[in-house]
Parts: sequence; C-alpha cells; structure tokens
Amino acid sequence: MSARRAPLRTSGALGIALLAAALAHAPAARAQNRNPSVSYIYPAGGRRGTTFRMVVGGRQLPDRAEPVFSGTGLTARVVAARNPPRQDQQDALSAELRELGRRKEVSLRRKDRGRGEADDWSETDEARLQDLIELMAMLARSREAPAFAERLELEVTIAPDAPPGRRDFRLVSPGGISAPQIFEVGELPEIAEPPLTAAAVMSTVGGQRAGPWRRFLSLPKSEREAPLPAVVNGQIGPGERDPWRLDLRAGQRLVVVVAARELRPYIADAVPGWCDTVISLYDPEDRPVAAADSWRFHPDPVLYYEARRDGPHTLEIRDCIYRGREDFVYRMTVGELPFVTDWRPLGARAGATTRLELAGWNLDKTVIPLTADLARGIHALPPALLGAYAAAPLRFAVDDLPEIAEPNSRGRRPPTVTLPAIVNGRVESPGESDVYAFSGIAGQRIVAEIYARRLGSPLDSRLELLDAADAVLAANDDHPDRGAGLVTHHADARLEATLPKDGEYRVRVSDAQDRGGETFAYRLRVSEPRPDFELRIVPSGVALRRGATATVTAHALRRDGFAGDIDLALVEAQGFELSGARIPAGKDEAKITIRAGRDAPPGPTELRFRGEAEIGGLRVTRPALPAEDQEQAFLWRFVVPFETFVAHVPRGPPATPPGARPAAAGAAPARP
Amino acid sequence: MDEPKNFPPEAGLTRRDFLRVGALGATAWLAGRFGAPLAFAAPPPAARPAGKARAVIQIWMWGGPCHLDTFDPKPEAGNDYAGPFTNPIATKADGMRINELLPLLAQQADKFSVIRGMTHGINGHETAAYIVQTGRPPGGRVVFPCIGAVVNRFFGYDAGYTGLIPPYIVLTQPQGRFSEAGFLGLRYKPFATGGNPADARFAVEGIVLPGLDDRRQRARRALLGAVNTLRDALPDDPRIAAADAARDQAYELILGDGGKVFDLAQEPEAVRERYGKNRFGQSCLAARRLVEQGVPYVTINYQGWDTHKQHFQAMRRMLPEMDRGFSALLEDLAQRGLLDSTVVWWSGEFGRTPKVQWEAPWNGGRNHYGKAFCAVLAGGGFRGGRVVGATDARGEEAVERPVYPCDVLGSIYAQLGIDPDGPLPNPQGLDVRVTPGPEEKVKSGGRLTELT
Repeated sequence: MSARRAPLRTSGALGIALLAAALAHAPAARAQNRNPSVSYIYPAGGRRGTTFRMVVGGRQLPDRAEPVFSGTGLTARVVAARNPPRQDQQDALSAELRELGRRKEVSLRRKDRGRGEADDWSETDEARLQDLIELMAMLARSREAPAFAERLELEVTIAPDAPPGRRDFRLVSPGGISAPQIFEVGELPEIAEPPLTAAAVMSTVGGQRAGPWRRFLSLPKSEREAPLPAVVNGQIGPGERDPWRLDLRAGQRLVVVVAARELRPYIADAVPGWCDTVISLYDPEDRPVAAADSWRFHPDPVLYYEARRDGPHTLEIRDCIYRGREDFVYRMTVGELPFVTDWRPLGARAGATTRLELAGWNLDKTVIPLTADLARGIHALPPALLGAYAAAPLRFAVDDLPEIAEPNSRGRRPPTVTLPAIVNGRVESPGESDVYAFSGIAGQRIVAEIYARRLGSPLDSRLELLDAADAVLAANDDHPDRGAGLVTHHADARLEATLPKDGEYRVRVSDAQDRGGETFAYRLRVSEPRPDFELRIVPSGVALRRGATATVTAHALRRDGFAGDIDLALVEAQGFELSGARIPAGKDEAKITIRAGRDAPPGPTELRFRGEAEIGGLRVTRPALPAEDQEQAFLWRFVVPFETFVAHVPRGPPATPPGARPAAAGAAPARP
Repeated sequence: MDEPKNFPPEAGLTRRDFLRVGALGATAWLAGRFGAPLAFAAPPPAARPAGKARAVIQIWMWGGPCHLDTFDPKPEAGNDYAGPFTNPIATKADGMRINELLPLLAQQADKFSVIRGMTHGINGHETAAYIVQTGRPPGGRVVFPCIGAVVNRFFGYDAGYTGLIPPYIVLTQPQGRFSEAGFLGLRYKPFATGGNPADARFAVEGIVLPGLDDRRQRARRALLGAVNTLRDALPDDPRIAAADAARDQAYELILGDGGKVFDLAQEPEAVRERYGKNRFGQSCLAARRLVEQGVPYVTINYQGWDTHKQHFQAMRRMLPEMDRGFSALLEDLAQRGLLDSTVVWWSGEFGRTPKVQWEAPWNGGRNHYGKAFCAVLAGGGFRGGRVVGATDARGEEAVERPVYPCDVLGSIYAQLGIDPDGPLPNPQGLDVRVTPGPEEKVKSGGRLTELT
C-alpha cells in the first residue's frame, strides 16, 4: 500500500518538551530492536501496468509486515515467507535430507544400469529434496550472513498510469519500520532471472562450503534471452558472471546502462563499498567487442556499441573483482535507446527560459526548451522531460543571480564580470585555465564557488583568486559538500577571501588533473557571501505508537557562513507534532522529537518538514529532505536523501492512557 | 631456460638449477645476511645495548581487540557497550579488573600492567599497525622500521649475534609491508616461520619441510654435493663460496641443533597443554623457547580479532584461548627466571568501537577504534600489577594520562638499553632518532615512568 499523505492543514505550534532525553538513549533493555531490517529487494523495479513477484531479503521480517511504496500507483502484499529452519528442527531435517539423498543415489545407480528397473523416485521426492537442500543452505548462510537470512515474497502491482521514476520501498510491521530501499518504476519490458537462492550462493564459492548435498543440487535453468529494448534484472552471486543473449542486427546502435551502485549507493561491509559492476559484449563468435566498467566518475558502467554483425551477442555482467552477494542487485537497460552523454547549459536563472542542448546517442530531440520555474538549488531533471536515458539523473542548477553564458576567455584580456554573477564556462582543452576579472573594494568579502562535479561534469576544478599583479590571494582544490550525498570525490572548489584593497581582481579556473575538453563544463559563482542553508532529516522513517515519541536528527548544511537559528516544523501533519525543533545558532545538528498524538492515523503516514530562519532581515523557508546516514566500506559516512519521510503508527493501543504523563514505554528505539 | 649472465658459458648449469639447492627459503635469507654482491657492506659489530631486558615477545593482536572486552571493562555502561560481559573479575592486582573470560590472566596480574589510555586516532588497519609499531604517523617521506627491525639492528648480527636462528622471528604469518624493516633494508626483515606450531610437525618455512624427515633431507644434501659441478668449475668465485656457506648454514639449521628449537614435541605434554593445544598457545611456547635460545625479538601474529560481525561469539571462542596461552607464557617465563629479561608486549593496531553495532549488517559487531584502546606490558624490568591511564565511563576517550605509540616503544627501547632519543643507524644515511624527537612534532604523552 502507499503511505497515506497527511491532509492539508496549517501546521501546529511546537509542542512542549517531553522526555526526549530518555528516548535519545535506548533503555537498559536489550538494544536489539524489533524493526524489520531489509537488506535488498529483488527485482528492484518493474514496468508499470504489470504484476510480478518481488523478494525482500533481511532480518526480523514478520509475515504480518506490510510493504509501503512512496508515491502513487503501487500496491503490494506478502504472499510467502521463507526463513532458515530453527535450531531444534535441524536434526530432523538433516536426517530427512540424508535419507532422500540415499534414495536418490539408489535411483541414479538404477538409471545408470539402464536395465529399465522400476524407479520409486518421484517428482514429489525431487521437489522435497531441493527444498531441503535450500533449507539447510539457508541455515548455513544465515550463520555467515545474518543480514540476508530471511526472505519475504511479495506480489507487486504497478498501475498503468503510475508515474515512472524512483520510489522508496519500506516494510512496516508491529515491530517498527525498515530503512528505505530504492525501487524504480519503468516503461520498458522487464525480464528477471530467478532470485538467488542460498543453495546457489553456498555452492558457487568453493566446494567445501557446499556440503555433501551439492551433487544433488539442481539450479533452475533460467531463460537468459533479453528482448530489445528491455530492462534486465539480476543478482550477482559469488564469482558469478551473468550472461544475457541479445539478438542484434548489423548497424544497430546498442546502448546498455547499468544501475547497481545507483540502487544501493553505499554498502557498509564491502570493499569497494558498493556493487561495482563491469560489462562485456561478445559477438556471435564469442569474441569480445566492447566493454565498460564505469561512466566518467559514475561506478555503474554504460556501454555504446554499433553492431557489425547480425546474430546473437552475449552481454555479460559481473562484479569488478568477482564478488557476489544477495544484495548485489542490478537493473540493466538495454536497447537502441536515446542516451544523453552531455548537456548544456548546466543551469539557468530562476524563471528564465533556456534551450537545453543535449548530446548523446540515438537522440530524437537535441534541444529542449526549459523554463526554470524552480527554487534556487540543484534539481534532478526527469527522464520524461528529456525523452532519453542518462547514467544518473541529470542535475540542473537554478540560481537567482545574473548569468553569463560562455564568455570568450581566450582573448588577450580576461573578460570582466560584474558581481554578483554566475559564469557558465568550460575548460576546453587540457591544461587550459579560464580567467575572469572583476573589480572589488577594500574589505569586501568575496566567495567564488564552482558547481561542476555536483552537476555531473567530469571537471576536477581548482580555483584561485589573484590580484592585479597575479599574486595568489586564495586557492582551493576540493571543498566538501555534505549535501551531495552521492558524490565521493568532492571535486568542486570553493574559496572565500577578504579583498585587501580597491582594484581589479581575477578568478582562475583550471582542472586539478590538467585535463579538459568539451565535457568539462562548470558554473562559477562569484559574489559576496550569500548565507543560506539546506536541511536533512535522519533517519527517513520512524515507528511510534500513539502517545509516544521518536527522535530524529536534523542536519543543517550551512552555506556562506549562515550561523543563525533554524526552526523546524511539520508541513500539514495531522496527528503529529514536533518538539525541540530548533537547530541553534552556530550548531550543525539537533535532535528533534516527533510525537504521535491520539488522533494520529494508524499505519504509515508521509510527513514533510521544513525549516525557517531569518537571513538578512527576511524570513526564509527551506524544505528538509529525508535522508539516511549510510556507511561506505567500513569507514566513510554519507547522508543520502530519499523520496519521503514516513512515520509509522503500528495498530494497537496507544502508548499511554489519555491524560497520563507520557513515558518512554512504547517508543521505538533508534532504527537500523 | 635463460642463460645466466654472470657465469662463463662453459659452466653449463643454469641459475635455476643452482637455486634449487636445499631449503630455498633459508638459503635465500642467509645469502641476504651474508651480503650478496649487491648488498652494502655490513657495519662492523657494535656492542650490544646493556639494559634490563634482552629480548621482546610481541603478541600482536591482529585486527584490533576491543578494550572493553579485554582489559578495560565497562559493565556500568550497559548492554549497548558491554554486551553480555557484565561481570568483570578482580585480579591479583589491586584495583585492576579484567574481562570475566580471562581468569588465568587474573592470577598472573602481578606480572603485567595495563595501559588503558592508548590513543592515536587512526582507524585503518595498515596505517594504524604502522604507527603502533614504528611510533611515527604514516604518510611521511620515509618508511620507518618497526620495533622488531630496530631491535634486530641493535641486537642482531650488527651487534655480534652468532645464533643460528635469525634474530627477528615472526610466528607464523608476516604482516607485510606495514610492519617491516622500512629504510633499514631487507637485512632486518623478520623471518616468518609459516606452518602451525600446534601441528604434529611444526613445518617451519625452509627449515622443517612437511612430509620430509631428516633421513631424506640428509640424502638430498648428499646428492646435491655429488652433482654440484658448478662449485668444482669455479672453486675460487667468492659468490659461490658465499652461497656454499649460506647453504651449509641452512642445513645446519635444518639438520643440526639449531632447528630443534622449533621441535615442540621436546616439551612435556603437560606444558603443551598448559599453553593450549592451538596455534596461539603453541606459538607462545615456541616464543619462550626462542627467547631461551637467545633470540632477541619474537612477534606472535595472533589473527582473528577484526570482529565486525559475530563479535561476541568470537570473543567467547578466543578470549579463553588467549587467556590460556598468554598466562602460561608469563608464568613459564617467570618460573624459568626469564621474565625480568624479557619484555612481553600485548597490543593490537587499535581497539574496537565501545558502542556495539547491533544494526544490520553488523548484527552485534564492533568497528575499528583508534581513539582509545589498551595495551599490556610485562617483564623486562617493567613493574606489574599496575594500571596506567584511564578512559571515560564508556571507553570512548582517554581521559587520564593518554599514551601514544611512541611512548610505549620508547619505554621498551629504554628497558632494552637502546637510547630512544639517540640516533638510529641506517644504511640510507638518514639523520633520524630511534623514536621521534621534538622536531618531528609527533604527539606524545611521555614515557611510561609509572612502570619503571
């Protein structure tokens, strides 16, 4: 079911402070909470207008769990549950497996003798044997990877008019709410190999782990022919190379776009800290003709190939270092598809109409008129607007400063820029640097900031502020931006300086790796400081009974030195209220408490947050994006935005009787 | 088969055949020791430092053991920090309590002291292992040698060490480039035994071959002598003579008394049981025997402590094993009068997060934690039964008397009679001290005067 959207109403005032401290630190009871923990979903997407089965893998997945998709048009229900056998069942199952194995052995020997003897090995026996093998394999696998131990099977239905694009998927249960997974609604035909079984995982890595039952294991043969165009779904098991047959015609311009890292940006217990795929294409004679392991700085590969021959080609996908696990889920879009490799400009002024020029493969439209009727910030352009696929959602910057388009920076004198301004440029050749001049006055504080990597440009910018005599006053190479949660190399430069005297100054842009080309585009903002902020709410979901509270952390991403208070509020949230909802001046985060009132609707409800502050004498409001704090490869942490924030109120009695003092009992502890 | 370029064409044998002489590992290592033609000339032997201690046994807790689950328990911090270990035990030392699964060590607490305020702030295995064993932060222009290589420099061949057993031994797998000789050079690398001392036959790399008894080994040697026409063809070549000497040494190690130190079957069964019949326990026993033979530095690389997942299950399995071997080593060294002259240093590259990671995918694990951890020192003139420094109520920060890796190393060097502030002689001609001087601006909490 989809999360219920709260009815439109003016938001309530801040509540009184509750015993938030008691909730911030889990009580002395065993901290292992009862929230369902979802490690993967497979397939991680589907075509609208279809119904299909989806596996949810994780821990603490009760049968009564309810699937929740963000947005509209999706419904799902649990149709089966599969858990490893309990410890006390193990002996009986082992004995049964041994007996069946013995009988199968006898049956095989009988067949070998070929004397037409009567065989008592039935299909039912075979099915039971495979079932038992899977149960024992699940038991063994659950010991070494408890995060994948349990499985739920869902039936998912996507309405024909469901808007395409990304959705959040969560499970809610009486025990709580899971962290979100990414699900994609698509429009192309879909094909999926059967889900990875525990027996398959245990048997692919060496013989030792497989146990004596390995020789009886029969893995289902999967149809691996992909029609074009299509989205191909699979999971990569240990050491696996998934081959897919594509029937190509000579002259066909094949595009393959993989989504694997995109579906799961960070994995905590793996190095590389995501599913890092590579793809190879082989011709009908099995000769390698194309390969890809990434697209610019995106780990997910993109391949373009003009077929030279008719006939069945093989597209193979695997992890770059042959790893494999249940949560290595991929979606590969294949076909003669329109694909955008570059676009310009990278942004526009709010309200202005621009011509978005696209470059790429198989493109129908190469110019798209675009009116940037959006707030200042970086926005993802939907594929529907572009009429084409891209390696990652196209990011377009909207600002409210005057824009200067592609000034000629190769003349004898650098072009002069009147502040404040946004300069759209590109480092056109390797080793080139672009210089822009402006006049400043003594004591003026200047910020120069590049938006490039955050907009998908391969530029690894370097910024320098020079005076009229070309002395370097300030320089920067990389400037971290916690708001760009999917960027692992913070290549965009930013510098800030106070000008020592009146006169002419210059800003120099170059590539830190001395590269350059048509694609090395950037937007350069030169202005006085523009204090502002962005907000993230972590985690992106809580579970709490009526009358109880839950705590989330509000993160302030302060820009250009904004240091004031930020007040948070819920947008149109019936039945819920916030307390402690302020990030004080000078702080970057605060714990805020959400309380579910007696009239909070049961089940999952989408909540929206916003923050308000005074900047330069004006009240400014900004949305707060729901996000998750994710760990990459045992070490780094990122704040990754999701589509929605969900507050789940499990059905049942409220946490406290009406009128009584609210207590910590009934509140759900921190989510995984 | 390539023609070897060094030898006259009429020699007829290839380099490959030449190298197939006996135990390759020991030969190659010994050849390095004697200085193949390309090596620098060894410095003239200097006097061995004369400190209270003459040897070091380093128990390297590879992967990083959690301080809360070993020598710095915090049961009051609750289940989220202590997990199931809520009843630490008192020890023979006043005011020192340790994990409940270490009762044998508790009885030896008069012999060791615990440093609870260790810190360096690095959470990567290799870089943390580097700073703990070299005293220097990683990323500088030179690669520093670890303490084993430094002790090798001061107590090994350059100081007139004449033992057959190499002076710097690793039981049993080496750590590799993050714990080795650095700019001192290959000459000071450790000799890693390989094999497993708990096996029926401890197969030490190049010295004890599995499945090859002494009789067959002698027969091979005799056969080699018979076919070694190269030596006959070039009787005066100094390189051949050096290789011959190296090979003779190697065989002496294999077939003579030298190699017997690795034959743990010589120990009474009761002693072997006391240490524990497992890789770690028998490594401790082997270390004691090596120190008895005069080996100045032994590292026991105790693997398996990087418990991101199934942490408490692993602790239940490994803490008793560690308890048995470590306590047996202390007791045994003391009984044999070796403890005063042997430093025993227990440490990993860091600790583990005090807050348990109950959430997926860890499901009850602990991550790396270089901000606060603990170490143990015993013997070599260090006082036992003491606790140096303290962490806060959850073990998250060193709040009293923080101790940095260079402080521990400097204290060990001082006990050995090596001047920690003095120059570290090296073949590169670098002007460096044994431990970082003030000019290097490395954080220090001061030497462990509390224990000396």
